[in-house]
Amino acid sequence: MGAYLSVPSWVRNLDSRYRFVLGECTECGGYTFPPEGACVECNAVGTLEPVEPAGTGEVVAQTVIESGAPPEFAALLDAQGAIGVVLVELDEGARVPGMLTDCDPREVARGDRVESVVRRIYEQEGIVRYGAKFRPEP
Amino acid sequence: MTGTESAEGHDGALGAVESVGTYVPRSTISAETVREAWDGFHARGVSEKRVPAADEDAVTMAVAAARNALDDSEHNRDDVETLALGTTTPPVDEGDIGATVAEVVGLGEGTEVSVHSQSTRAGTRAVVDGLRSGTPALVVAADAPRGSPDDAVDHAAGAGAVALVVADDGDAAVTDHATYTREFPGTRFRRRGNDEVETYGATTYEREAYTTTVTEAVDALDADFEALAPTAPDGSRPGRAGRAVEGSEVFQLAGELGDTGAASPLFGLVAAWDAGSESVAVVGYGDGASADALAIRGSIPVKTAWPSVEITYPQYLRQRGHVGGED
Repeated sequence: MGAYLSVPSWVRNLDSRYRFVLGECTECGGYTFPPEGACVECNAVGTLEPVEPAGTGEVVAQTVIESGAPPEFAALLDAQGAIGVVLVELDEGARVPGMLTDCDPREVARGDRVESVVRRIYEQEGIVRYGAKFRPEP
Repeated sequence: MTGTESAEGHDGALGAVESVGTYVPRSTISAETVREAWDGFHARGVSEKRVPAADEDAVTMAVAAARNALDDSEHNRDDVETLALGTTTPPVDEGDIGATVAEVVGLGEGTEVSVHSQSTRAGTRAVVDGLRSGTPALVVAADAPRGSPDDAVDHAAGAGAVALVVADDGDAAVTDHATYTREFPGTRFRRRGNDEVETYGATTYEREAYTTTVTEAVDALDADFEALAPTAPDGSRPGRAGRAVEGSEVFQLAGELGDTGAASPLFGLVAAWDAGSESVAVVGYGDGASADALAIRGSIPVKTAWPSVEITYPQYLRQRGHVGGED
């Protein structure tokens, strides 16, 4: 079963999809992703200023999908054999989810350094959705 | 500036290349692996080639090269006034992929964006567009052609992207531009709605189209040069242009990257610079036929080695969508 997201909803936060734009709290300096709502550090509301992180960080959790992927990812699973999904703590501090690319996802572990690249996420209704993924830092 | 000359030193320069960024997918397949699969390998002069990952296309490669060019530029993305993109493999037949590249890179919304396609000349068309438009301009050529898996086009088909920041000043001045167009239909084309590049298949005719068009465009340049960087559909054809243009050494990277389509003359430029050339004629040739020749004086240091991982032929077929991938 897929989690359908319409194109109008998808484009609402392209900066975060493409470049992990974070919210920096003007009260405490903490970072929140996505950059909306209350600050995850100090719960202040209306204090988030968008900032663009370097896109590098460390894997804090990971899993591998080898079958049963949502239908929009079926083609990628066919082509790649497995899809790695990670939670990454960016060097700025915020935690962001992402897929892995350019690696064997089974060889990526907690603590590994990764960097973001923009790739095709999936194609649906003829429209290619692009977004940031992670690959191991060289 | 680190070069010996800058654009200011050349009267009448059209502009200059200020920085360069390249991107090459890491997956590599050797000619030998393809030969084993098909009991033959038909791409002349190609020893190995690059293969895009399943989640890569002209847009993602363009973005990667563009980011690298901007990282090495004195200009930041907010300065960029023009984005000119060249590719024969846009992921859609209609739809502005330039807008996607601009958005991903984070260019300003007032940036003038254009996409050149339909011919492997699209890469040099984008360079000319960048030179003629507001500068600094971000020029990107990205391509990942495909053919029918059993033919020379697919055996040669590689992938990669080159991005240039083109500005009024830079270490590599573009001193002249010339063009030549004459009808030679069918040397390389892709039918509407089809992913596979075809050629008519008359080798002598295709060589004549290539050699005539490239040579005429180069001859029209008002410049001397020591290196020639022509469009490289394989590792062999560029040599024909070299024989027709006396006294210049030919540079191409199709031998190791495969056919990078619209990006191939710019990879040739990068290879010429890497070898120390200070005067290069870059020639974008495309079916039709037509060619742009650009005389470039000076150089920018670039690396021509990229991370590489060998893949098998079945992986190749899956990664390129020759098998699987249907919903």
